[in-house]
Amino acid sequence: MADRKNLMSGNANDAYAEAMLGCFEALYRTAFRLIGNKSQAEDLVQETYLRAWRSLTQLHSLSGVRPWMFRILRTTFVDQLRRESSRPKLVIDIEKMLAAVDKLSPPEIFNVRDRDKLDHLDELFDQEIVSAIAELPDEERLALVFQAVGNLTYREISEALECPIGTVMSRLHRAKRWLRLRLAEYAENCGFIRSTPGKEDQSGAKA
Amino acid sequence: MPKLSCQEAQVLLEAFHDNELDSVNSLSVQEHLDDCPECRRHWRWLCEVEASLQRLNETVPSPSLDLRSRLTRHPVRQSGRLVAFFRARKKLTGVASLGLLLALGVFIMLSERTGADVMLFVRDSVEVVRNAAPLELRSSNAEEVEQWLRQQIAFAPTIRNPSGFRLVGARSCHINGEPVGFLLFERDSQRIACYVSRSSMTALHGYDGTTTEGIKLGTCEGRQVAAWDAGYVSYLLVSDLTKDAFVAAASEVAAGTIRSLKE
Repeated sequence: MADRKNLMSGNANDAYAEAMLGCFEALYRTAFRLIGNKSQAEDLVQETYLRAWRSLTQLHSLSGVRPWMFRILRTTFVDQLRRESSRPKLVIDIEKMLAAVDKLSPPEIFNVRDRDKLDHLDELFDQEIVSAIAELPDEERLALVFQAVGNLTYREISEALECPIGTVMSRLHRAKRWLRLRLAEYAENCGFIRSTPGKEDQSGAKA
Repeated sequence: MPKLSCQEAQVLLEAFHDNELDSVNSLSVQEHLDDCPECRRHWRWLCEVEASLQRLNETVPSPSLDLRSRLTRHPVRQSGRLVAFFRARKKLTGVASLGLLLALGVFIMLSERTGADVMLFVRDSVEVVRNAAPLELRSSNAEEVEQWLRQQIAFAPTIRNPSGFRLVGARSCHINGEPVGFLLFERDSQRIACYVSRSSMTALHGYDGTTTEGIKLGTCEGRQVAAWDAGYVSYLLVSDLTKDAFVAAASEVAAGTIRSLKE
């Protein structure tokens, strides 16, 4: 592992640059899912790298490159949000909704055979998930996208978001609970769910 | 192993799915799911969400072809080509910096020497007269003084007393970083301080004229200064004599040193 001391050597510097550029795909995907627009996502990634090159000396180890890059992405993204805060925005009291969600139980999921008949179900679900992600509070959204799209481990997310792992777990739990309830609600409203409480499909459980 | 409540199990579902639980908690969640239809419903919806997130991950449009190259160009663009050049050549930069520092040091030393003023010698001579820098050897014996100087500064030119003056003594010191020998001549209440050095003292600042014999003359803080080089030794006289008397005395001493050189 190249440490801070070795960072001064050209080879180690190359190794850091390589590790930073190795995060490019994940950062871009994450940026896209945070913003939902290709051009703006590219700008966000570009600004992230710009800041990263400037702060290269802050790096202490190669293993820390990924969370460090995501931390810069987060601060850049949050700065951007602050700049755009004057724009009109859909206001949802997500805290209140999540509190209500905690008391709800999802309906029974459709059975596998029914689902196969619905060709576009995945697409519809994906659209609904994208909308639901956009409604999440920033911290929950960042934790979720970093984990699901950036493929960061919980430890890496805690470093990137500068919070304890317990907080990461809590944010991910709330975010994904929100998504599954939104998905279930959507499925029910569209009539995809066969309401047969108690007649669950045993094969659906993780072995 | 303690059994989990539904609430506890549901809080851990996401971490269980992401393989982020330790083996004990993971087993507890698994056992709870095996026994609890309500939590299995949560689990299946979670799997649905995870599958959707996975698809979203795979359906992100490709970035522009030049984005990656734009990112790699930034270090050079940001810090400038010159900085990037040196960053890429740390050793060369280190050696170059060291060389520059040394050159700067030598330049400062040289400029100090060549830029030094006769004032340094004038002030030193005043200190001797005030006895703040006392003579180390008091002797009017020229041979004894010469021998002592040779021991102190490794050379000892023969200096004839200016007419009417007697040798009082000698001392050695460092002025402007150079070892210098000092001889004091006295006549009544008048004194002539004579400095001898291997470094030329004619290159100092503070002279305002030169005699026909090539003796540099100057006045500093009310005292007369004269300097000349003879062979490998440089001489500098300081005195409170009048200018004419001093020039005469300096010419006499200088002639003696040049003559001794020829002998």
